[in-house]
Amino acid sequence: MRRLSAVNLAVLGFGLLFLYGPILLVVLFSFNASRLVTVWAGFSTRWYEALLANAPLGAALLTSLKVALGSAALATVLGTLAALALVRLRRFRGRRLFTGLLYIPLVLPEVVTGLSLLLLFVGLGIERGAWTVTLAHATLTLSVVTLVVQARLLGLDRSAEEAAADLGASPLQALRTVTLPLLAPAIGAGFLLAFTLSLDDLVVASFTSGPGATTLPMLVFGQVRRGVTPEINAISSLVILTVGLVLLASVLARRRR
Amino acid sequence: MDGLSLDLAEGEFFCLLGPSGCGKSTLLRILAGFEEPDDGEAVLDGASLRQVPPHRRALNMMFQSYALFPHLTVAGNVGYGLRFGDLGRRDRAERVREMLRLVRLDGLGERYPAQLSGGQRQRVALARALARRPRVLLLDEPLAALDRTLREETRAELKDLQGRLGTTFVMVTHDQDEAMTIADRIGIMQAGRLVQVGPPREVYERPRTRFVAGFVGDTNLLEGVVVGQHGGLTRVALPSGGEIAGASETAFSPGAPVAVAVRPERIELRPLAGEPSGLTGEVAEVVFAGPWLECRVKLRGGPVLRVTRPNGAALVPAPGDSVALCVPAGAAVVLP
Amino acid sequence: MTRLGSPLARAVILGVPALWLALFVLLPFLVLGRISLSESAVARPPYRPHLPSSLDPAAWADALARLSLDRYRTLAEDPLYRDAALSSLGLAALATALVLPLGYGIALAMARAPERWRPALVAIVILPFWTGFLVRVYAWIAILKQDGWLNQALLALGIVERPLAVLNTDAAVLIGLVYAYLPFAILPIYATLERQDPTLVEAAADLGASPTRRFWTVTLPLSWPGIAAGGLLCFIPMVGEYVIPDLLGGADTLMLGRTLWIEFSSNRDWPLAAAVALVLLALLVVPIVLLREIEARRLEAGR
Repeated sequence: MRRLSAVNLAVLGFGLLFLYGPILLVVLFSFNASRLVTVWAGFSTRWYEALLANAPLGAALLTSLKVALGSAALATVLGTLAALALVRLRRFRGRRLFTGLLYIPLVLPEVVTGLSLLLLFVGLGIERGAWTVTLAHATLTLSVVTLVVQARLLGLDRSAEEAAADLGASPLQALRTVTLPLLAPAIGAGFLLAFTLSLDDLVVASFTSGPGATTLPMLVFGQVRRGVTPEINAISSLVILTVGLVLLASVLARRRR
Repeated sequence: MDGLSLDLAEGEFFCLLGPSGCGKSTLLRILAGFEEPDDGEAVLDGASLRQVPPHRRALNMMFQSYALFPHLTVAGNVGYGLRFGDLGRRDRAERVREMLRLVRLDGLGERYPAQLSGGQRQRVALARALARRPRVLLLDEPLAALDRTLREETRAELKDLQGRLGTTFVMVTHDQDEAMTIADRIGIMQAGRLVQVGPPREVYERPRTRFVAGFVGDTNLLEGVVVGQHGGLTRVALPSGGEIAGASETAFSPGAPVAVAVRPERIELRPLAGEPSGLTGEVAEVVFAGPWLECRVKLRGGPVLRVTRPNGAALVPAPGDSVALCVPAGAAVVLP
Repeated sequence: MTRLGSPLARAVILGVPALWLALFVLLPFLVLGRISLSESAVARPPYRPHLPSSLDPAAWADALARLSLDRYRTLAEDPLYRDAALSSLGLAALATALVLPLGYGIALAMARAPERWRPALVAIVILPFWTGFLVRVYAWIAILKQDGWLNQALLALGIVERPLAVLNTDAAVLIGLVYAYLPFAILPIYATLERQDPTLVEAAADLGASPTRRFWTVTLPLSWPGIAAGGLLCFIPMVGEYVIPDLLGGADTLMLGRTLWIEFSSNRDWPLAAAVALVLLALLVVPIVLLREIEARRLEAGR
């Protein structure tokens, strides 16, 4: 009874074309020989070669990677702790406030999060730079890690932990030797999510960054505002390629289990 | 599913009985129109149902999971199918009330399925399927989700309801007690084939294959060799000594290997007096099973027979007793 | 069963994230409120705090007596901000109304696809979501601009005689919003559709409902939670969107997120930016709380 009708297929086809068409065009024209972005003039890799010589781009990429790694690591630790608190401690005072605060960065427009964090850093007299972006991104992404780990933790069979306790493990030992290994896939997935979100973020980074700490999206945004260029097509294609590979790897890894 | 042919009589209660995976639910789904047979067709009142989509068939189905719409009230569920007929609003409301009365759910029309007990949900599903007054009602394991006592109560109600409405019911079940007590006729399915169709008593007393004999009720199957046939009875010699005479539908030539099926409650036991002759054995074990006692009698040469005696019967042997076994003519069936 | 027994373990597991959230989520809001009540100044940072930072009651009394709600008065009186708020809500609502049917159609096709295709389809829908927000918005500049791919195609096909001016209009912003947030709409709807018991539709068919009636009376009503979640998940960030109106919209496309950014960066009026942020927050409180309710209920139903 649950059959795909012709209408369903048509909608799906249109939807996928809508989702992928623009992206594929960008990738295609990154190999365009012409400087004119929208007119095809033959195949070329010159814009990729130009990227290699682009020093500010390299610096921005490095900043982005540093920020993403640091913030994802922080978010993973904090998010996992928060998930453990929510699932294992069950009732505690201020639980509603705690979950509320966890949830807020997830749904708030980024401009609000970005501005409020900036004002905090200024108010506390903290010099802004890559590491304030790192703190901001960790705050932004920790709830994503919590969601992923929490879901896994709720689906976890308590009896493995109980067996560990029965065999003499203290609660902390049971956590370390049984629960955390079982949670590892979710924690890994949470880390990857946080990492990608940080790499992709423009708005919060723009607010919380300081001089000399330009992330890749900030750099690209500055150039895009000035107009469309083939170099940006090339950068975008590389971003797409990287994300595609990471996603493919995670799908394959999941299938193997 | 293969080589399957079945005629339903108007107003009968028909049970499809078989182990899980035998294709009985698939057969039901083909009748309802959810699945297409590769070959062959279903015919209702002389008209083929091929190419008729499920929503245009004059049959309704009661789903095993009940498939009640969680977003509609009980009345909404029962009246759902009436929206697509030609009944006016007022007649529909009247029909819904009538159906709810029929299944004794008066006054619960405004509840949602989530607010009902399992037994109540079952009755809503039944009322919903009956509301369109189908020519045939298909029931897919309608009692499977109920607990034991409720199941037995509901079984009688269902039978009574069917009798009053006169609608043809086709029910799928894997529970042989259920099929036995409720059906006018039973069809036994095995691996996609209908192996025997008949009234419950006939299927029980005269199974046509070893599978039917073993699946419907408890039975003892004894391997043996045909000695001769006359007067509708076939005499079979058992390797453990002795003979059993049983009914048979097929002609066997002497020496043919066959199986004799005997119900445990049809075997008589007598204390062995004198030299063993005929069918004899030693009681290995007597198990108390509530309404009856089950004796396991080991025959000479290996096979163990199960013999039941009602609880409180005068003559119950003890383990270790030597006994003579007697199978009355007509109590046994000889199967190829 | 002991649960993470020792008080120290509890303190770490709950205390560390709680402290972090207090410092980086709760405190910033208080700072936001405080600065929105300050006066702007040509200084670094460009404001003069109004509310005292100490707990001295005299200082507080003095400050409260002189409390000026200037920023909020500006927001209320200057039609620029009112229009920005209205057009934010309007564009976001319109884009949500467009994204939901499209997302629903795709989600329905995904849910009806054979079971072994579904994980791949989900991955395919998520993939663009991860290809970088900026990249996806940027692609539309190249498509929609005067000599862009859309106009080239339309001219080549003879559908239009002169290139359409789409880029830098509200229409371009709408397209960008729909495109960027489409996966947000698809996934929750798909989740509810996929979980739907297929025998319910069979039961409806058995009871005489045609395919169309089945959709309207069973499939659609049972997927409201997914539609509501998907809609809010799109609407909330759309209202505060900054990148899309900035890159695709015209000079006259005013949305609160963009206004906030302009006040913050170009005009360097931080108190006003903070006030805009709080207005944005006030507008979104109801949708956010609603979304949270729905998500909690969905989580419950999923178990």
